[in-house]
Amino acid sequence: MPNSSLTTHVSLLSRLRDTSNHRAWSEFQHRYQELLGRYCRRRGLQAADAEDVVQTVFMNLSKSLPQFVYDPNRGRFRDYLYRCTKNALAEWSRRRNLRPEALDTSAVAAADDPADTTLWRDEWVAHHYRLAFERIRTDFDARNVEIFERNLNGESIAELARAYQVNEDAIYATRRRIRTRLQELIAAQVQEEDQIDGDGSRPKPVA
Amino acid sequence: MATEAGRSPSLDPRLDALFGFDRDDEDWLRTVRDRRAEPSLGRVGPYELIEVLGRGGQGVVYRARQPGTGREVAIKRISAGLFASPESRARFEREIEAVATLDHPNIVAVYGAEVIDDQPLLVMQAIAGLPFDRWAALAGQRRPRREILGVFVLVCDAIQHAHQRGVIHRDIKPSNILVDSHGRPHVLDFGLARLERATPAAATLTQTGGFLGTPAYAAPEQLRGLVREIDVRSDVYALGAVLYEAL
Repeated sequence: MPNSSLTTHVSLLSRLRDTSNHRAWSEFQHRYQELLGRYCRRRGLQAADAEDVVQTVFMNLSKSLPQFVYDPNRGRFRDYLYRCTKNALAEWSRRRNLRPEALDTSAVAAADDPADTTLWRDEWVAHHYRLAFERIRTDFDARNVEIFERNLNGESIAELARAYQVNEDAIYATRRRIRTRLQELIAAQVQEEDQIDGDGSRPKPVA
Repeated sequence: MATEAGRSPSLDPRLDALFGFDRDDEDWLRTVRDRRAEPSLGRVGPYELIEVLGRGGQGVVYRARQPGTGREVAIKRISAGLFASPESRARFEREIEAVATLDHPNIVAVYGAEVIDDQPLLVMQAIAGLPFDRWAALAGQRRPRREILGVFVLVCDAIQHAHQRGVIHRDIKPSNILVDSHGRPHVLDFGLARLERATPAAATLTQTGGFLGTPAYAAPEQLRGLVREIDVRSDVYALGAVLYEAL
């Protein structure tokens, strides 16, 4: 079952409808900064340029999110965020190309490429893993987290069993428990992401 | 046994497939590993960016490698870059102006200001250290008061140096004081600094932004947005809050 602590409180997106809720905006930025930045960097932007685009996305969202109209045919929040980011990328490219010395449009040339949708989807998956790992580090004791991280980084079950002087079943069990918890956490996170006012409402996409 | 079968109970098949939970453990681990790989940060002009050191309302600070010398530096760049408002740009330029007037062993050294791709950058000494509060509570055991006070006195000396040159920091807090491995504090981030000899335009700038700073350490006049009343005493108040917390 999804983690109740992630689903029973008023969702973050609902709180964002109140523009004076600075704590919610700060939390939103903290949560999505990395996803947007990494996506832009994968699109070929330098980190500093990616920061520009991310700030623009946040600025645009601060205007559009409080006035959303529910439209179930328009897709999920992640699709909306994707379109916002692509629009900001296009705007960034337009402004940059106003300068005669900067005529590089390669970063936005791939905007309608199906591979770009895959790239966004992969980064969105990575984003949810990052959030879930933050919880794993508090939900599990440090030793189990360390075992899992070492396994994730390529050390075999046998090597870990030797290193921690336990039998291999214990290592398998640790991995299994963390995997199951990650699955639960991610399911809850994704569910919350699509909740506005608790009814799954979503903002209309930006033009 | 179940742990080796490598499959978790399914919650939502589409979600499971997207996140790799429909695969056995080894395949799933590979998926997670691939998703965690970091894309390169790239460059700003000639500087190779290594990592993001900090990100705040005013700017982003990167650890970067200087071309030629290979020396590691900290580069501060204004948030939003090309999209930054004229007020934000003016505030950043004021920070550059403020730090240019300072030269103190306990204030982060500034190597220079540059403009790259129409964006102003501040190039500073890269400090490897701990924020003051974490340094004071290292390994869960609070340091001796004498040691904490010894470092704090150096911080006060640095802030006094700034005040004597007409610079009010306005955002003194533990994370803006890094203590290096030799126990030397370094005051950083003059992003909200105000110059006492501010021009009328700059004075207006400080009044239009509403509350700026960190509430936990901000003096009452700063919390209330009474910009004209903010002076050296506001920094002294913040220093007191930092010390109180550290002790």
